[in-house]
Amino acid sequence: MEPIIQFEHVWFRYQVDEPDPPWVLKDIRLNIDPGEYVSIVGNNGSGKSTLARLANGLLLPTKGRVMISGMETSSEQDIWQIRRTVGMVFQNPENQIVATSVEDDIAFGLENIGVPPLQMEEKIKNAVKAVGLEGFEHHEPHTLSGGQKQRLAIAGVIVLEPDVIIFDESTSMLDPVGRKTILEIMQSLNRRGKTIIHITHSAEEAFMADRMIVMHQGECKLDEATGRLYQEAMRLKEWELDVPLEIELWDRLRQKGWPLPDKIINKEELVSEIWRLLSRT
Amino acid sequence: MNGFIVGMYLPGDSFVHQLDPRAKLGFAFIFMFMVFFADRLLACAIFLAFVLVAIHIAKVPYRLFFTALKPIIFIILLSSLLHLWMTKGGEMILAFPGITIYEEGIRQAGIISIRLLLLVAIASLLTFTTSPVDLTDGMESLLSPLRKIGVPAHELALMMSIALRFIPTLWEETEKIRKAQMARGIDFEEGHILKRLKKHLPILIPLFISAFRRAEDLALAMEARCYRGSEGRTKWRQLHYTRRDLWLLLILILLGMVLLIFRH
Amino acid sequence: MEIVVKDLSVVYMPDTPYEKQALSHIDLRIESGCFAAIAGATGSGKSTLIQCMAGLIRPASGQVQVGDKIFHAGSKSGAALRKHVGIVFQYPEHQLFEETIAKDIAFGLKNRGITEPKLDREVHRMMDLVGLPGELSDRSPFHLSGGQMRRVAIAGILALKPDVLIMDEPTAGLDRQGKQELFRLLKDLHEKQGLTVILVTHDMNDVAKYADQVFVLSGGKLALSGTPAEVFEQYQIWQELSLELPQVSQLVAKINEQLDVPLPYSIFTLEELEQSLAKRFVQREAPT
Repeated sequence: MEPIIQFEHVWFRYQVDEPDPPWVLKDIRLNIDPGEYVSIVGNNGSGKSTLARLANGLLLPTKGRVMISGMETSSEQDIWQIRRTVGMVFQNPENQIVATSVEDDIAFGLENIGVPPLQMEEKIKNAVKAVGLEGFEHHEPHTLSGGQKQRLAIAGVIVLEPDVIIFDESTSMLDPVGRKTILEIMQSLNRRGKTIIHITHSAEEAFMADRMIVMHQGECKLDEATGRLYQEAMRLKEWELDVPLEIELWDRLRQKGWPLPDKIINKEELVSEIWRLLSRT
Repeated sequence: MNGFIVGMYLPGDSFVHQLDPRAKLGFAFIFMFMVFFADRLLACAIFLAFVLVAIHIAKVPYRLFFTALKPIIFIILLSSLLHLWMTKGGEMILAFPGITIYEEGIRQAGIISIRLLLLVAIASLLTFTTSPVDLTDGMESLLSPLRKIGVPAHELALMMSIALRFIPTLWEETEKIRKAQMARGIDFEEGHILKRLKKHLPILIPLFISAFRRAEDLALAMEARCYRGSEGRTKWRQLHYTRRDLWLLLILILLGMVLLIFRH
Repeated sequence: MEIVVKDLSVVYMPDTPYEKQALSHIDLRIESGCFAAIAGATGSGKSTLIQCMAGLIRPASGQVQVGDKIFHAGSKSGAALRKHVGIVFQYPEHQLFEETIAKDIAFGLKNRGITEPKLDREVHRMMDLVGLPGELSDRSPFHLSGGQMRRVAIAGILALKPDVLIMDEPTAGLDRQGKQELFRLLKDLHEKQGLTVILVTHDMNDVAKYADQVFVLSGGKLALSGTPAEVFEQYQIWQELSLELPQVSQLVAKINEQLDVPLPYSIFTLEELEQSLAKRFVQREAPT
């Protein structure tokens, strides 16, 4: 299977007046296959958002190249096809909405790519349904909650039927309820075959993906399936990242000499291990 | 959003609400133009009566029009006072030391106040009964023939739509910044007018910075959603004239006749 | 400084179709020198409540008392409260406006009529307090990182020497490091400077870690109050309010699904959970 996103030795820095601006990304090599659910974690300034913007041609690499379904992002004639392939949901829900009603905002992308008006109705309806905004079609955006606005932003992206959707810290400005709905939508989109890339600084959210990439100071430090990552998770502290609570507990209990297995693959397994130890007679 | 009424839309299904936005926009534009030719008190009164009936049909509460008028009441008063003092002609009605008021002055003051009132009322009626979406679509459609001579119809309409979209957001933000600066010891109610204006800098600067940041974010989001100007773009909403819209044409002709009959 | 809220109600846009009861009949007392947390879902009224405490929103009925200053529907303004209560809003870096960091921190002090050379001295003291290097004072605040900009904004409030400091979601948008640094600062202010701190947050992990007193709002009413242990124990009510418990409590609930004798729900820190499990483990081994 051909990877849908390929980063080939990508280096990036912003063009500024300074003589030698620092590299924001250093020699990134990365392949993402269709249908994957990948999280990219890192602190502010680790280069993770820049990475996202390179993946749909909003930024172009300084050195190396980024390929989307075999198209190079620096190609002017392919760029619109690339943007249709890779959709992007941003951080601030407020600043992504263009139109003065929910359905008109969803229509915006369709209008941009020249979909015939009669075909739009159906697509808009499906997008509204996919994010659970039924009944809000005629609402003005400012009457929506933060979580609802972010769902609208997602609807505006999925209506273009992209293969890949990048969530660039899209949960970070929401309350717990809003965050939970967005995470659920991500999972359901992935189940329906979309490639999901979730950029976040929350380890807990990152562990919901199947694969996790750690960015630190512009470099890719770790790229591993989350199931296999559990025993290495304490290393996340090296890059100033949080460690999921259950792993911290597992680590502490092991240090106290509990006979816990070397490997756990998820929270459920840890809970049943604890239960097994406590109830063994 | 206390007292924030400019550009507000009141959803409804009245006759006026159901008119085609292009017809309404065109009507409002020609009507405003005609108001400047209504130089007889009687003609003005007929125009005013028409607007009052239209408001009634639109089922918009009259008090909302007073709220909309509030910001310009000062201008209406000032210009009618000026006319009252400066216009000479007709019989002398009152004579104080320093000023004399003539019959013509009263007439002119009356005409100018009614004209301003008509302008505000028709503009408010348009926004009260037309959703922002329809308003911008109508504008784009009316302007599109001018594209040939280089008028960026689509861009203008999009700008207007984004402005309408972000008014409530920026208004909320203004409130927030105002409170934050109050917490840093500014008292906005104290001091004379110039001092008070200067006190608003700590609100305006953060507001501008935030508006620029939002604009940058929005531009990026639009680009990611494949926006590239009007080229190759389609429109979801298609506007259709109906027989209702003929009424507006008829009314325009009637009002035009009123103007002709009561010509000066 | 003690804060006493008595029968406080607030109504937004009264007598219009948009009328909304934001707070109804709130009674609470925040003890002097305490680290209090106010929690609740979006729209629960917590933001209205803290703005009343800071003298920025006028009560429709009832009153807020800070120290000996009282603010009620008939008060001329909330200015008396504002002298004692400092409030740092969400994303406070968005209110910066001066061309240098020093000037921005000095803004509030100037409004209070403080002049040079005291002004300069105070500004540098505040920069030191929030951990901003003194040589930054003449730089533009807009070239700093997000976390540093936030410190500038906080310094501007602290410069006014409030007795009570209210923080609305102070860590929103910060990463782990930024978050830890900010809480270290808050803890310092609370312990060393003796400030009464009121934290408004969605994150119950922070509440569990730092607060002595918790107030939970729901639909404009006070739903729960007490120490974190007392409040988090009310496990069922949290689910009804669709609020998230601290992660540790969630884990305890998960473990309890399988245990015959459940762990107590008053556990909400990792250390306690570890100890409690260890105790169980030893008990289990002892009889055999």
